Amino acid sequence: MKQYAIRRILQIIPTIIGVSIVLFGVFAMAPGNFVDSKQTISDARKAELKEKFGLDKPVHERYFIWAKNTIQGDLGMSTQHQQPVTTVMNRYMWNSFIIAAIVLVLSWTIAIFVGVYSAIRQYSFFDGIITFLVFALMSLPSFFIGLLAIKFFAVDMKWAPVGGMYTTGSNATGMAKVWDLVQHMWLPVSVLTALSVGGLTRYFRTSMLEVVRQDYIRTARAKGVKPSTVIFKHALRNALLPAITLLGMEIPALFSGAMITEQVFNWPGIGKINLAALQSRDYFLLMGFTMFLAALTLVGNFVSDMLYRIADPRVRMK
Amino acid sequence: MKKRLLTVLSLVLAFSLVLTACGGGDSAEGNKTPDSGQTDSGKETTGEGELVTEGVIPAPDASLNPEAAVNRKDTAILGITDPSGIFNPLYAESTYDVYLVESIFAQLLTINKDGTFSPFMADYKVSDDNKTFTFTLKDAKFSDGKPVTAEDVAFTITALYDKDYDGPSDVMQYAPLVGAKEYKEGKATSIAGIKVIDPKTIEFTNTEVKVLALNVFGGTGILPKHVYGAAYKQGNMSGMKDLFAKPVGAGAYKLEKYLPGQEVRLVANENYFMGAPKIKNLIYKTTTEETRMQLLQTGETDFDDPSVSKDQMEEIKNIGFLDSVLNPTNGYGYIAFNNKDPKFADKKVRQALTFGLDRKQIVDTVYQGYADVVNIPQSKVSWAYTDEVEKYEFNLDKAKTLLDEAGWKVGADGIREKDGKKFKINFSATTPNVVNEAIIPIAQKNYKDLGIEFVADQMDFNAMLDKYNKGNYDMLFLAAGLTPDPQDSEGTFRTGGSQNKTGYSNPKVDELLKKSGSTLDVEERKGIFKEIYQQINEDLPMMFVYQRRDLFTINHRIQGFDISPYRRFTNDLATIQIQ
Repeated sequence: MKQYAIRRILQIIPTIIGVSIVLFGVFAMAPGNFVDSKQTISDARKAELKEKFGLDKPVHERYFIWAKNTIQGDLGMSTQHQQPVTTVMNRYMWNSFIIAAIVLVLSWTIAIFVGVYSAIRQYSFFDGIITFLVFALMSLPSFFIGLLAIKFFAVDMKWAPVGGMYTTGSNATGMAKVWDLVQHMWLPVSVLTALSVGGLTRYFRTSMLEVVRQDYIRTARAKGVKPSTVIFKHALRNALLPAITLLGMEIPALFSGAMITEQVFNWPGIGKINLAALQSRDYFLLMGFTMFLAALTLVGNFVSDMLYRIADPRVRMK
Repeated sequence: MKKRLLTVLSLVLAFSLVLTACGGGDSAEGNKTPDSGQTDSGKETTGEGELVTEGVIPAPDASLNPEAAVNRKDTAILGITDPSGIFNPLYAESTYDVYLVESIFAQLLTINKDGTFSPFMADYKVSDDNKTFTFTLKDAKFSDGKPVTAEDVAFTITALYDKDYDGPSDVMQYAPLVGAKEYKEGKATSIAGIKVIDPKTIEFTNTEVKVLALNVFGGTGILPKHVYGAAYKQGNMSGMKDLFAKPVGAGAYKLEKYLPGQEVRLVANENYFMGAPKIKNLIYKTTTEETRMQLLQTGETDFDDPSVSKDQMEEIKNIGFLDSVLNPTNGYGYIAFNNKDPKFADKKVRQALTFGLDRKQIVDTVYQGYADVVNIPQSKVSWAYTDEVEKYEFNLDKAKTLLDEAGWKVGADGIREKDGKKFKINFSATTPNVVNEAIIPIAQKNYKDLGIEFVADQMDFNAMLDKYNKGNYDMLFLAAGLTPDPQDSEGTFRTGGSQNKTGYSNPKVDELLKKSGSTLDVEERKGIFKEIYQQINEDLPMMFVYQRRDLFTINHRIQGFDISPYRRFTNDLATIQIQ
């Protein structure tokens, strides 16, 4: 086990180097750069700035400079914010994380319960209703439903603020601050959960349906084990196995920010910052943030592989 | 079978739910009809439904103001797009960072409604040879109580010329100070052209006459040397960046708290030299285009700049308690011709393509009346504006004649050709872009009638810019910003100018631009610019398309804004008040 873990960790290193080369190449090859896009400065000034930012050097040289600095922990300066990349990421990323984490927990919990229930009552009236709701939620256009929710709950009913994370100008601390956050968060969290719960429910339902048809479930039932024990102890644990992979893939999504939360609900997240970085060719911020997500993806992969080995003895045998 | 039916049924139901959701949206909009009916009855005040596209449109019914806004007695909340946190006059680049800088820092001069400068924190005079500018400071204090001195001014301006300076200003181009080059190269420890005469007087001397120099000296927010001094040593400005989020200036407000992505909280600067602002707290709140209106409607913000459209203006009227200010934007949209391409080399072809494109239709499609077709690269509110030029009204016959004269004859397949080459235009279009979405179909139709094939390549903005910079295009659409002084267009129209990407070259225009740049006499320059614009209008290095509108929407409870195209709302921050 330990040996396997070490081997896997060592494998991550060449992968991450490969990813960084590809990303750097792609960003560098995209036409334009953050100096040429300034339209009001003279060519002489452009040349000066390019020299200062090292844009006059060939791509491979720029890559090695970037790689050297990154290894030393210096991700460079964001050209848009004129601040270190880590500072900019730190400013916005945690806001994205908090809402994504809550939505993740909520949507998974709901999806597991609803999915399992509709699986064991397959084709029942309840299952029909769920199937209907799930497809309805999945087919909703996200921006439209977000704006509609704001119109109903914030503008007309005034049950929630229109957007943002805290009340503008509020100096609340402690519990009052948390309460303020909850009031701002419930609407976007509800909408995001509604949008993501659909697919997950189908996933757990299918997975559960497959498991309850297995021989060992029939055996357990035949032995006279209590139906609830059969479902929650024997079946559910096995049905959740494939979900480990899914969970591993959710890790980078926790930090990447969501456009709908930020554009519609005015949440101060990092998605918008990343998009703006792409549009303005803010290379260091782009590289820093994308590499961070790439690293999280690899870590997520690693973690889910490890969890598999813990949870499923069959994998360990191979 | 039954199971199948159930699935089908649930799908149908799912669909109908989505449809009812849409229906719900419609009926929600429908709920407003009675309201709009009411405001319609009050329509007599604004004439027979005539479109008001400029000026101040007062709130029809201020009594509708929501409690959330009314209860905010000592605080104004201004909604803006998220600033980047660069609260420093030397480095701020986006408009939104500039708003913050102008709220926190004070400049030596202020801009008038017509785009000229007036004394603000200093009086100024210009020497007879137009090269030396002398500023005499008034009694002003920074927000920390220390006086603003000539040393602070010298410190601020010097930093712009440093080798390590990587902000957006290109000062060498606009204000080449005596000795600036030596300072930049490290051969001198100070700039010879900046002379502190006494604590209240400072003198700047340029190597040549530059009309835009006042922008640099008078338009830069002054940094207190006692705060920023430690962050800047010649050749090393990295310390400045650590102070972006901790600005200290002499402006109307001072920073209290910066919450990235959320809000920037300011409090009144009691030491402000024009008198402490009347509103104690000023908050810039980050808003997005999607919910600007909703935030104004619920009273969560007092001010914002939503995009202009007929629907938006209708919505503002329905909400009732919002004043709107519509101003012509400082800028224009244009379609560039690659003047170096043989097919566009003849100005008759460029004129034909302008006559032959229904610009009015394009502009009306996109801006629904909230924009004008333009024929020169200048705002109609500028002192340099002239309309004694060719209007290039849509005229296919004229366009055809011009093309014939230029030697482009209609070929057998209906496409014009010259020297065996077909007339085909590759249009580099950025996407998504509302203007391109209108240009492409209209140009395709109009130019087809002329016998020209018009093909659009869709690409990302930077990719388009890259083609433009390299001269690797036929035609493309872009918008240009204008500064108060028309001399700024020199870079675009002078032979070899830094922003001249069309390859336009006319010695007459070069000569005139030089002349207008070497005198500060506005009356004389007016005449020169008239000639310049007439020549450019005839040559058409680019096809001028439109000047649109900027909209500011302000809760009626906040009074005292006097916004004009050149004079930003930040100039009024000290005098606005809550009713």
